[in-house]
Amino acid sequence: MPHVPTLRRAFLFVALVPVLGVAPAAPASAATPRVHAIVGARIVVAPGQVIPRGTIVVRDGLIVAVGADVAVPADARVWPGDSLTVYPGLLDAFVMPAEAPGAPGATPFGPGPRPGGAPAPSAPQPPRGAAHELATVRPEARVVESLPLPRDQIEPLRAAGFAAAQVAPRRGIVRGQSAVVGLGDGAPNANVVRADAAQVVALEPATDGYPGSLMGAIAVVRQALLDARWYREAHTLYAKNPQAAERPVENLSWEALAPVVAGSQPALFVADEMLEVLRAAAVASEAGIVAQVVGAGDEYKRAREIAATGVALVVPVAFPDPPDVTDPADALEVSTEELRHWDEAAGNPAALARAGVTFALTANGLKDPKSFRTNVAKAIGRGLAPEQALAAVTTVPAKLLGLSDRLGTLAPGKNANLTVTRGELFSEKGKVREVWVDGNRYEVEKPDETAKGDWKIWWGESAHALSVTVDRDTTVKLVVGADTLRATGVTLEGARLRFTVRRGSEPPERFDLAAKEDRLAGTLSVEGAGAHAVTGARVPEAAKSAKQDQPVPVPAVMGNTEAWRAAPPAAPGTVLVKNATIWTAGPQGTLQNADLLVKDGRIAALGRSLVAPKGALVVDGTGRHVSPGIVDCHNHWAILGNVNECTNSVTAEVRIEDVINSESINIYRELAGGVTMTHLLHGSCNAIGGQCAVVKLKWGEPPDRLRFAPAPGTIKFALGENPKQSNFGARDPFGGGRYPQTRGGVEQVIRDAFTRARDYREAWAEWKAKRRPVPPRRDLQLDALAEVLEGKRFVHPHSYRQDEILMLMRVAEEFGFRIATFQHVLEGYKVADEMAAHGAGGSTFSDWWAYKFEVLDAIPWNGYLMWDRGVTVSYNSDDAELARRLNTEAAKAVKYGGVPPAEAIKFVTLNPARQLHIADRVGSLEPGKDADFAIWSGSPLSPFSRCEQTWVEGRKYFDRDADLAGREALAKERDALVAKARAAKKEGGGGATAARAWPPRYLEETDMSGNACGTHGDEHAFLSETARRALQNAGGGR
Amino acid sequence: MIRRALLCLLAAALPAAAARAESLALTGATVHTVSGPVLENATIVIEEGRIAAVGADLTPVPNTRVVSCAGKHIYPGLVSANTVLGLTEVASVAGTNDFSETGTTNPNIRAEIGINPESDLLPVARVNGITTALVVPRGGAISGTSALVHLDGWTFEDMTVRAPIGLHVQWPNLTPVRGWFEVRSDEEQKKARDQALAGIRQAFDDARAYWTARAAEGKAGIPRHDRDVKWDAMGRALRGEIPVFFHAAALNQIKAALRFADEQKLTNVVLVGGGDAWRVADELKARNIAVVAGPTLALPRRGYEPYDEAFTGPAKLWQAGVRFCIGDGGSPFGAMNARNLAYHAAMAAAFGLPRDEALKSVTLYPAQILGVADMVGSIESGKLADLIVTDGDPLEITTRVEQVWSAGRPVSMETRQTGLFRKYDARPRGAQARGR
Repeated sequence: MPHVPTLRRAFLFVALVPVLGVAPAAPASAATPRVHAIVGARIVVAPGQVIPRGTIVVRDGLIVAVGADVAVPADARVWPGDSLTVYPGLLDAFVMPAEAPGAPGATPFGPGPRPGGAPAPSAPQPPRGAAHELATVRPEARVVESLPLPRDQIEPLRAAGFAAAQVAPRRGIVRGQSAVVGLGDGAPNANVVRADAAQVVALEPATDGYPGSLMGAIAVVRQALLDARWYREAHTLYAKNPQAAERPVENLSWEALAPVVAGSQPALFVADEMLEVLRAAAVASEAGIVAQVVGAGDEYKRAREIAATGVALVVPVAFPDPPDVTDPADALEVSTEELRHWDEAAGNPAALARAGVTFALTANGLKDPKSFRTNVAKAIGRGLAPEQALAAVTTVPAKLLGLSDRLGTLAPGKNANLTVTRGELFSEKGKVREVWVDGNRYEVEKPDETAKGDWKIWWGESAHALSVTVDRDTTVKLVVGADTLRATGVTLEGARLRFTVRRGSEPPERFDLAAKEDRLAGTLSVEGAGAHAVTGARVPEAAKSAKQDQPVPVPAVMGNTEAWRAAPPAAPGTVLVKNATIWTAGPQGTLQNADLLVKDGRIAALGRSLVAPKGALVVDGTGRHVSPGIVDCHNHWAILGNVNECTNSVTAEVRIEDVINSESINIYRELAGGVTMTHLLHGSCNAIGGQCAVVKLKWGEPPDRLRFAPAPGTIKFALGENPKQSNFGARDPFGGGRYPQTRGGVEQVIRDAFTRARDYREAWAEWKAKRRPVPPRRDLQLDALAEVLEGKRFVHPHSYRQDEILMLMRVAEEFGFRIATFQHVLEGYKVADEMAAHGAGGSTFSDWWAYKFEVLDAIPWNGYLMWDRGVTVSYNSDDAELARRLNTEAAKAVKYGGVPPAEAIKFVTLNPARQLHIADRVGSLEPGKDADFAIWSGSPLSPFSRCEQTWVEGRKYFDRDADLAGREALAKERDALVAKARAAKKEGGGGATAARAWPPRYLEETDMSGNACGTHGDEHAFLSETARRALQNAGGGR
Repeated sequence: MIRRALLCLLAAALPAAAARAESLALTGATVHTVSGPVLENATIVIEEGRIAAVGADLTPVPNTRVVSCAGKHIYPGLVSANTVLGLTEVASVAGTNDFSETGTTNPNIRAEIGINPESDLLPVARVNGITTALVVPRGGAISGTSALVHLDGWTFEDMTVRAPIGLHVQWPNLTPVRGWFEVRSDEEQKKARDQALAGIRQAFDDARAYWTARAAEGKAGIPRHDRDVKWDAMGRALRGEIPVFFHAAALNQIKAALRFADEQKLTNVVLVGGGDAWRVADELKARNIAVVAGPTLALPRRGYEPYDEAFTGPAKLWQAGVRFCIGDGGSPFGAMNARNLAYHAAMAAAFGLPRDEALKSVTLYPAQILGVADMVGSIESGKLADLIVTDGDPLEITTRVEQVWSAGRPVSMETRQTGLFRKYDARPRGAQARGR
C-alpha cells in the first residue's frame, strides 16, 4: 500500500514536525508500484453520469481506464469496490490558509489606531521593494511560495471529501495569486496543480490607514487596474525610445497585475455580502477583466441581478445557527431579517441554480469542513439538484480554474483524484471512506462497526424492527408483531450485541449478534428450542431525517422590511388624482380642487375637472393635498460601510455610487415621509471628500437602478471643524495630527489639489498634442477634480462659518469654477449677498444650532435671509429621522421669516432639485416632469398631516393603507419564525456551522464615524471599518 | 404685527419686580385652559405671579393693569419633561457640559445647582412657549435628582420651581449592540451591563440598610451612625415621597426595571422613554405607573418595526389608559432644539392621539406626572401664571408665540438668535436681493 507511513517514515515525521512544521515528502526509497484498480464500485463518472458497477484503473497518478467492462491490468493492486461509490475527487475552489495565532496582522488592530484615542500615525511597513505604495496591495504575492497548507487543515478537508483546493491568500485588498493544489501529504512540488491560478481581490478596507472605507477599497482596486494597464503601455512606449523621456517607474505590483488586465488570469473577488458581489462584477466589467466572486451565502437575495452580471460564484454552505429567542423580551431584539436568513440560508444554492448563476460550493466559512456534506444535503433538501451539487465541487470549479482537462470528472488522462464513499455523498448517512489524490490513497474513515442504530432483523419468515440506542445506558427495543419488547441483559461491545427478551410466560429468547457495517448477523437461542440464524440490515437514517423543513413563507405585503423582497409596484399607464389641493411648486402655484394626470410615469396635465382617460387609475384626492416628491439635498442613510474615507485630506477618487445601500430600510421609511429623491453624500471628514450620488427611492431596486442617471456628478468638500479634526476626541487644542488643523490649512489643501488638477489637465493636453512620449498616468482623484474645473462636476461643501464660505467662493473663482451649493451653510445669512453674486445655492437645516462651536451663530432665519437675498435655498435633513418630515421643516420657513407657503414648499422640492441640476426632470409638478409626488392627509406644512401615498415615476411605492393592512401578516410570520427558532435551539441548534457574525454590512446602521458632526463624539469612531468589525466579532456572540 | 409690537413694548417696560407686585388682567383672548373648557373672549387675572381668576365675564377690579390680547390665543406654558437645558451649551465642547457626572452611582447629584441661567439655549426654548423644564442629570446608572425650573430668572435658585422632583436611574442596555459606534464585543458589553445592574441593586440595598439603621437611632442601645451623602440623597425616593424615574426603552429593560421596583417595594415609579412601554400597558395601568414618552420624532428602534412605531407610541398608551406625557427624549445634543417639544406631540396627534390629548401631553400631563400640577400645566386660579400668547395652536409649526409670561412676568422675547437676525437683516442689500 503506497503512502501509508512505514515505521521509519513515521519516526521521521515526528522528528521533523517541530522543526519544519510540515509533513516531509515521501522518501524516494518507497518504490511501491502506483497501479490500482477499484473493482465493482458504483462509479459517478461526472455529475449525472453513473456506471452502476464498474472498474477504475489508476496508473502513476492518472486515471487510465473507467468503465463497466474494464480489464484489470496484471500489475494492479486490486481494491474491492462493492458497496462503495467513486466520485471525481472534490475540488474546493476557495480555501484560505489557516492563520497561526499571533501571526502579524492577525490582531484586529494591527499596528494602527487603538480604542480610546485619535488615529495613530501609520506604523512603518517592512520594506517590500519597488512595489505598490499600499501594504494592502500586493498582487505580486504568490501562494505557491508559501505552501504547503498546514497538515491540520489538509486532513479535515480530505475528511470532508476534498482531493484538491484552490488556496487563496488571506489578507489585504489585492491579495496576490492563488494556487491549485492536490490535498496529498507530499511535498508542495508534487501537489501543485496550477500556480498563480487567480489574482485574489477583496473589497476590504485596511485595518490601518488608507483606504479606511469600503468605497476607498473599491477606489484602490479600480486605480490599481488602471495603473497596471498604464504601466504596460508606458514601458512599451519608453522601450521604443529610451532617450526621449525619463524612465517610467518600476513597480512589481503593477507588473504582477499584467495577466489580469490582459485577461489571461481571472480575478477572484472575495465578497462579504451579496451587494459586494454586484459591485465586484461591476468593477471587473468596467476594468474589462475576467472575474469570479466568492460569495457569503446570501446571494439568493439578489440572485436575479447577480445572474445578469454573468459572473461565476463560489458560495459557502455555512448556514447560520438559530438566533437565541428563548426569552420573549430579548427576542424582540432579534431582527426579522436575521430570523428569515437563518430559515432560508440553506436555499441559497438552489436559488442561484434557479436564477441560472454558475457556482461552485466551498467549505470556506464552516467551523469544521466536516459539516460540508451534510450542509450540502440541506441545500439539496431545499431544491438544489444532486447533480448540480456534485457539479459545484467537481466540474464547475475545474472549469473556473481552467483545469477541466485534469480535474472534475473520472476520465482517462485526468488526475487520479477520487472521492470514495459509502452511500450518497451528500447525505446524513453517507460516509467518505477514502480520498485519492494524484493516485495516492488516503483512508478517511474506518468502516462503521457498531450495532448502534435502527435495524430490520429476520429470523424465520418475518422481519422485525430492532432499535439500539445509547444514552446513559444502552436500550434495546424489539418489535414483534404488535408488541414492543424491551430487552434485558443488554451488553454492547462495539460491534457485538447481546440481549434477552421475554414474551409473556414463554421462555427467554437470547440474541447474540455482530454488526458489520450495514449488516447484522448472529443467533437467537431459546432454551429447549435450539438456535436460529438471525440476519439484519440497517435502517437508513435518511428515512428518519427526511422530515420536510420548508422555510416559513414571507407575506408579500407592503411594509416588509427587506428591499430585495419588494415586488416592483404596478405601473398603471395612466393615473388621475382627482379633486385635491395641489402644491405644484411650479408656475401654477397651489391649485384648489384640482386634478393631476400622469401618463407613462410623467406628468401629463394639471387643472380642474380633467377627464380620466379610459383605463386610468383614479385616486380620490378630496380633502387631500398633493405635493411634489420631497427631494432631500443632504443625507447619508443608504450608504454601505463608512460614509467617510477619513484617512487622507483629499479623497476625490472615492465614489458613493459604489456603495449605495439598496437594502437600507431607511429608503422605505423616507418614502413614508413623502421623500422620492435624496443626495447621498460623502462625509465631512476631509477638505475634499468623495463623489456623491443622487438616487431615486425606488424601494426594491438594486443599487445601480436607484441611481438617478440624469443627475450630473457632485462632490463633497468640507470646511471648518471637521476637516481640521477639531472634535476628534481629546487632543492638543493647538493642533497635531493630520494636516490641516486650521481653516488656513483647509484652504491650502484645496488650493493645492486644484493646482495639481490643473497641471494634470495640462499633462493630458500635452500628450494629446503629441508633446509627451509617454501618456500621463490616469489618476482617478485628479480626474474628479478636473471635472470640477471643467464645470462637469458640482461642488457641495460642508460649511458653517461665513469666512470659510467666502474663502471657498474666492478660491473657486480663482480657478475658474463656481461652487454649486453650500451644504449646512449655517452662517450663509451673513454672506447671502456674496453667495447670490457667486451663484451658489444654500442647503441648510431649518433650525439646528449650537451642536458644535462653529454653529453657535446659526439662526432659524438663515433660510429666509438667504432666500430674501436671492440665494436658492433648500432645507435638508442629514438624518434618516428628520428626512421623514422635511415637509414640516419647510413650515419653519413660514414660521421664521414669513416665507409664503407656496415658496416654502420649494425649499424641500424644487430648490433642492435646482441645486442638484435636475430641476428639468423633478422638483415640481409640471407637465413633462417625472410623476414623483406625495399625497398628504392635509397641508404638507402641518405636523398634523400624514403622508398617505408616495409615487415615483407613476408607480405607487408607498401606501399607508397597504402598509397598515400588511402588518398582521408580518407579525404572524415573525411569530412563526420565533417559534421555529426556539424549537431549533431546543433541538441543539442547526449544526453550529457558521463562523460569520450578524448583521451583514447592508443591514448595519450607516457608519458615520469620522464625520464628527458633534453628534457622535465617540473616540472609537476613528477606527477603520475593518478594525471595528474585527473587534465586534472577537467576542463571538449570537 | 402692531399688536405684537405693543406686547413686546410692554415686556420691555415692566421690570420683573414691578410685575410681581401689580395686579394684571389679560383680556379678550381665547383661553385654552387645558384642564377645563376653551373660553372665548376671556380674561385672566394675575396676582403675585399666580392666576387669581380666569373666566369669560370677569370684570377686573380697579388698579388692575389691563393688557389686551384680543384676537389671540392663550395657552398654559409648555412643560418639557425630560431635558438637560441649562446643563449644556455646546454639547460637543466638553467644557460646556454638566449633565453627566462620572461614576455609576451618583444619587446625590442635584441637577439645579449646575444650571447656567445665562445659557443662550434657555431663551430660545422659552420664546417658542416652553416655560418650565425638568432638568435631568444623565450620567452613569443612578444619575441624581432632577429639578423643575423656569426658563428665565436671575439665579438658579430663582429659577427652580421645585427640587428634587425625582431620582433618576438609567437602566442599562441589556442586549449587546452591534454597530459602528460600539466597539466593545458582546462579551464586554454583557460584563459592563452586569456590573451596572449589580451597582444599582447594591446602591438601593445599601441605602435601605442605611435608612433602617438611621431610623433605629435613639432607640436603646443603638449607636449613632455616620452620615453618607449618597444614601442621604436616596431617602425620599426610597420612602416614595418622590418618584424613581427609570429610564428604559426596550421591553427587556422595562420588564427588568419593573421587576426591580417590585423587589425594592418602590411605590412611586415613573418610566422615562419607554419606546416599548405600550407592550406592557396593562401592567403599567394596573400599577399606576406613568410614562414620560418620547421622543416621538424618532425612527423605529428596530429595523423590522413599522415605520410609524415611534409616532404611535403615545396613542397606544392613551388607548390603554396609561398615564403619560410626551418629552423630546432629552438628548444632550437635542437641548438646543428643546423649543420643538410641541411638534413631538403634534406627530403623536397625526398618528392617533386626539388633539386635545396631544396638547395635554405637553402641559397638564407632565405637570401631573412630575408632581407639580399644583403650580403649572393648566390655566386655573392658584397656579403660576406661566402663559403663552399665540396666533394659533402651538402644536402647529407655523404658529407664532408672541408673548411668554413666566410666573406673571412678561419675559423678553429676545434671544441670541433674534439679535443676529435683526443685525444681518439690516445689512445693506446686494444686487440680487428681493424687492421689498
